[in-house]
Amino acid sequence: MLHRLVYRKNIYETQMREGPGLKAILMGVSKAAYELTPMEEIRQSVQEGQSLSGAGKWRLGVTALSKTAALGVILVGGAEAIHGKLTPQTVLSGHGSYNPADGTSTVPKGASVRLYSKLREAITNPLGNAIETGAMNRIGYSRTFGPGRSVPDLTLHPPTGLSIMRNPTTVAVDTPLSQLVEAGGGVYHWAACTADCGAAFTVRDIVSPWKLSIITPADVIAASAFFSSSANNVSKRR
Amino acid sequence: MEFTITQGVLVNGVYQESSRLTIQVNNVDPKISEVIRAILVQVPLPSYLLRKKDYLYLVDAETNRRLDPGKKASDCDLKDGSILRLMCAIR
Repeated sequence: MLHRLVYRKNIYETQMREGPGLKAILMGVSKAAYELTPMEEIRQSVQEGQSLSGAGKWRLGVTALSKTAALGVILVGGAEAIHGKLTPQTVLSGHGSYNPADGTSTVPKGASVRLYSKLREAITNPLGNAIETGAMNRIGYSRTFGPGRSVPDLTLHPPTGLSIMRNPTTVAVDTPLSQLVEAGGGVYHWAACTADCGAAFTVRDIVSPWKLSIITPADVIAASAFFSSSANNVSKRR
Repeated sequence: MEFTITQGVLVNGVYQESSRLTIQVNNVDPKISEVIRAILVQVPLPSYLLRKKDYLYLVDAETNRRLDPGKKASDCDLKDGSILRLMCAIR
């Protein structure tokens, strides 16, 4: 828990000072790593080791071990943050549907598909806007299909009658997901329904912003990567 | 009464119209729900939108006000020739 707080605090403080971006993430991770390096424990152990009591040596050892473990988590988290930052993000927006007859397709290498509703569910327009703007605290469900995984070959329809935000990828004619996802294309966010075109469906909406939730490093990474890349998103497929 | 129905997309709050059609409602002061019903009969909607017909709603193009299906056209200040946007609440 301590390492998470140090990690978040440092990235947040650096981003507030330097503005969002890769530089701020790197500086935040470096600062957190520095603060968690057990230098004081090592110095104390070397210089005062002989004079310390058994309990004192145990305390030093446990603190140093805890800090070292936290340091490992920070470095892994930092690498993930940088990786997330460099991964392209594409939001696919519009009406969506699932036809079981279309079967599945395999997610190509270097790409993943993230759905924000279970299969055979519709999403409200506000939930679609939350996906488009990266408002992770308003999204209650997501499932990611990584490279090599089978994903239902959903269809993206034109966004007629919808209110869309930012600059997502939209289509002018019905287009299967398999034609939108490209190898090395990064993360594809599906901001559309996955409702079965011939059956009843349930509707998924945004979650309350007041819902209690613990922000994890994964949330920080996801939000940071999303905001940095959404500005230079891919062009519309019209 | 006669209404002009527009179809399009709101992109970052700016409406981009793609089509426009005029419909006749055989009533002096129809309810908004009757106007929607008339649209479904007279305006050719794509199948993906027709399946979501229970989630279609109308917006007054002049005032941007969402129209309540339970209200009458006159209660919403709709007059002959009013322009309405057809929107969908789900994706």
